[in-house]
Amino acid sequence: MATTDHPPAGRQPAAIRSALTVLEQVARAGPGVTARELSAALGMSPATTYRLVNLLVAEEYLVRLPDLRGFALGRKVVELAGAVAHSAVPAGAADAVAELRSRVRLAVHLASLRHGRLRMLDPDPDHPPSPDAVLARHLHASALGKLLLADQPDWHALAPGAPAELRQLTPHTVGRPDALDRELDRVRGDRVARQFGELRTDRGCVAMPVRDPDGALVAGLAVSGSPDRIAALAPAVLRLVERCAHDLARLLHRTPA
Amino acid sequence: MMSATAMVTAMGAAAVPVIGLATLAMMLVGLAVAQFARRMAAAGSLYTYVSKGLGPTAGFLTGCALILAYGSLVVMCLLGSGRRVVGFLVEAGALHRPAGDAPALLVTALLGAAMTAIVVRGIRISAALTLLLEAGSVVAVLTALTVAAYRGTAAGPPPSALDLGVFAAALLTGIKALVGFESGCALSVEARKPFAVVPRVVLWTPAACGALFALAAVLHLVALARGGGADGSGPPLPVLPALVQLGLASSLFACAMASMNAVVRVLFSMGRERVTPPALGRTHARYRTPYVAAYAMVPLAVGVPLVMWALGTSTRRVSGWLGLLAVLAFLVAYLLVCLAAAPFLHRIGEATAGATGVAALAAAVTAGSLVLVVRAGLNDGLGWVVAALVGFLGLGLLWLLRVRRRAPHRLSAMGFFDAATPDDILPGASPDGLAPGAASRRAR
Repeated sequence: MATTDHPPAGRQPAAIRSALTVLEQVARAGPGVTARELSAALGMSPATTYRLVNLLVAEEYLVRLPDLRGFALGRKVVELAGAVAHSAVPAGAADAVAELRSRVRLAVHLASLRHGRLRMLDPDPDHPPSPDAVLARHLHASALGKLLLADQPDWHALAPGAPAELRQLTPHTVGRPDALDRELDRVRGDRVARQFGELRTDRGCVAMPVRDPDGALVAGLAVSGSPDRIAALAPAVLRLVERCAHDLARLLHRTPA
Repeated sequence: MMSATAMVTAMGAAAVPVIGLATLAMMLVGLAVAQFARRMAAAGSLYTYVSKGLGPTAGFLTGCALILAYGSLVVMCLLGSGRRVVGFLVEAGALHRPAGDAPALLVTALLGAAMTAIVVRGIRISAALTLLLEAGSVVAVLTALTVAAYRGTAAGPPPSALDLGVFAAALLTGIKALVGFESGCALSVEARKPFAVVPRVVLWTPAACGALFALAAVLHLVALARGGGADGSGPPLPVLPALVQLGLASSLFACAMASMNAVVRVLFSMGRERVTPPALGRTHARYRTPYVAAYAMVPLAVGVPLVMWALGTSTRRVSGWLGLLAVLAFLVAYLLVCLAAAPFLHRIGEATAGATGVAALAAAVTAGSLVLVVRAGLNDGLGWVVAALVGFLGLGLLWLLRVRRRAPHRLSAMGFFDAATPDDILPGASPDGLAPGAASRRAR
């Protein structure tokens, strides 16, 4: 049974390119993206898309999620990504974050916001944040995600699915596109993003951007705790976070993460 | 493959296209099954697939049909194997031709015990043994047929006129040789790259078996055509019959073991979902095989031969009944899985016109085959076998009603399959729905 459905000949660069595009799109859209969404996003015919995702699942580059509709990147991607997926935070930056943790007695998370993607670099070990996958899929509900969205010329490009589908995760989630527009304007003006019980009812969060000398968004530094504590945050604490974010801009500069 | 020679004897050269037709039908079913196998790994195979596509009632019916199908295949193959072992011993001169079936039944019971032990021991050893036995038997029988083709065989009675009845009987034989090709699905949970390997196996098994079957038929046709010519009238080789008997014995034993492995996993899945006694869902502490389900099959595998021995029924006749029952039950399960494919694809949002069309065609062909096989059974005066199947499925429905009344949640939980766990997914890319720390697919 050594035959394959399609011989892996060098004659099919188009098929390979399509498969890689599907892989990229799953990475972009975040876990849970369905085959139909992939097909729509890539402009590929459904039949081709379904064949490709099933091929990628068979080779374990993709994983079909328990609802059987959604897909996520599989373990095999780690083998490809190698060290990049686990890139360590530069020692200096880690020290700066650790120092902030020792002083504010709140959960402190550092996340990369490069290339339009949210990825935790240094989550607080004592108070772990929501999983990356949840954050990446519901950018509108987290403070770090709002930083990322506010930095985009058009935030719709990053929101998976139709813009109307801002998922209402809690009663406090900003669910309407126009409300989110206003919220993102506020983030741009204050250079601070906040959320109060929008991702989980028992958590609030304040996030500040970390920008490189050219002003490009590199990362986000977030402190999180119960919503009322975050709402009543002392200005001194905010200044500490701001200074740390400022230091991080220098420390994270020119690292590939 | 020996039934191919019987088909040729019955209907001449028309046997080859009938074999082709049966192969085509089974490959169509294989396409429908592969739609599921590509998308989920489930020990319950078609039972789980249909549960996912058509809901719990149809799924449970499929499970019942599969249990009946694999169960009768196990018993039929064991009986056949026992008979062939005795045949081999007779041909080899180690045994006088026995008057009754007693030695064959004794061997059958021994083989049944050995098979159960191997199945409990684990899939590795039974798969390796199956492969070895099947390869050996294919070589043995093909050698014998090739030699026979070269030497020529005295022509049998002229083939009877080709009418629908003969066609139906031949189709029954053809399908009987191919059913069970989907048993690989039951092992998907234990396979290394299930979504790549299992669909391929499901598609290629009927094709390869059909080709072998057709080859056997052609070889026999050649043998008949050469007839008792000048070079074919030599004395028969004494080794050949013994070789064929041994080849058939090992092939049938392997077939019984493969069916046993499959039925045990279906029983296990149903036990796991507590729609049948939950004990069936228990696995062996050391070998991690569903051993309770395996032992549950023992009374059947060993008991039927014993009952027959007590009643004095001929094994050949019982094999005929069991064969018909197996084919009918398989066709019911296949029909349901073909019908389930389109709703399933639609539900997960991956339906295409092509896949739906193929599934519909497969369902139509399977339904047609079912009608023809029922007809063949009625022609042979075996209407009670059809009634037994319907009765068994009816009992299954009654049982399901009982479960529904007592524990309706169990029905909605049907269709358990091996979902991805955080361990399978890129670290940090698990969605919220997945419980961290759940047993990985590898660990189970």
